[in-house]
Amino acid sequence: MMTEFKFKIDRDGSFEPEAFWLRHNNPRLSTRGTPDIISGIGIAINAPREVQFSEGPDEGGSFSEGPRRLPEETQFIVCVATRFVYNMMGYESDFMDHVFLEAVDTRTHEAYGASVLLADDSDIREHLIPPPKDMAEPETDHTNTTIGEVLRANLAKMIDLPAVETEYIVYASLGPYRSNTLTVKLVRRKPSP
Amino acid sequence: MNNNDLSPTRDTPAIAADFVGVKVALSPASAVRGPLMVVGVFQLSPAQADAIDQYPHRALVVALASTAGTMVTTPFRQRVFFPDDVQRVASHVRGYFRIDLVDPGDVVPEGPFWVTVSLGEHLSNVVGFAGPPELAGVRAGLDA
Repeated sequence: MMTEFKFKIDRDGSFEPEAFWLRHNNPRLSTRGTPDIISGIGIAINAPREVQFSEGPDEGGSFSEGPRRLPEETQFIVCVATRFVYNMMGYESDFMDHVFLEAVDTRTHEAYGASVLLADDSDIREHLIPPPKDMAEPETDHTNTTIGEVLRANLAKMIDLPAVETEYIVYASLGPYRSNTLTVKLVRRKPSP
Repeated sequence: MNNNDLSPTRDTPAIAADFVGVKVALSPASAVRGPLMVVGVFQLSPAQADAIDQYPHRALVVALASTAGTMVTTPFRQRVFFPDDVQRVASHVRGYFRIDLVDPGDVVPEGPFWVTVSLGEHLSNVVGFAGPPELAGVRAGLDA
């Protein structure tokens, strides 16, 4: 019998990356905002209730080009956690690269989507040290092994979202699996007096 | 005007009177050639429906996932609707829809594909069409 998928998220906590630079620059390490998967297999996401964006005085959009895009500095953070059985869908232990994030504007109903691969703009992979060539093949049977992965994605960097105040419904998917859905309000940062 | 895509078909899934959300099915369930459609129904409370749109069909989002990735589309977003395109059933707002995935005569692409439809925060059940036999292992992994 399949265990029910259970997880915990704290939407009111911090979504900042950890200060230690090795963790700060690696979006594939858990942070305080990462969902805590308690049991079962599936995908869970966490995001702040509100995301603020700012725009400079001379950066307005135009009638022909439409509204300007959300600045990449905007912290539209979505923390993703997955747990699946090894080689589900033929992905071996690498599920996160295939997760898809969807954001639907509740005002215009426009749907945006992007692979989380776009979220990992770190150079971590360039510094991977390959295993020694004479390393023995593992003998462990991973057929029933569950693999957990996490990612801290910034939708503002992944998707060209318009810089307008609105509300997004956000969720993640992988093949037949869907995460929880969250509503995130996008508000313009008020200029300081 | 042809509003057949807003009417129930024989394959449209049945829902309980107190159902809230979106329910979909494939029509026909396992086609080799088109037409292949997603047929479905949504039912919300009036307050939930009004919070989404006067005509909630506009907010339907279709996600088509495969092992190669996912595509999302909003087939009814810019459609013009009329009051009788949604039904007021008892204390609920109900709407039917049909979305063409494969045109008549066209070959259904090799799967597996999974389709879901969302409406606001409501995600439908997942329906899929199976791929060729060599992907049986992939499907077995899903059932694990």
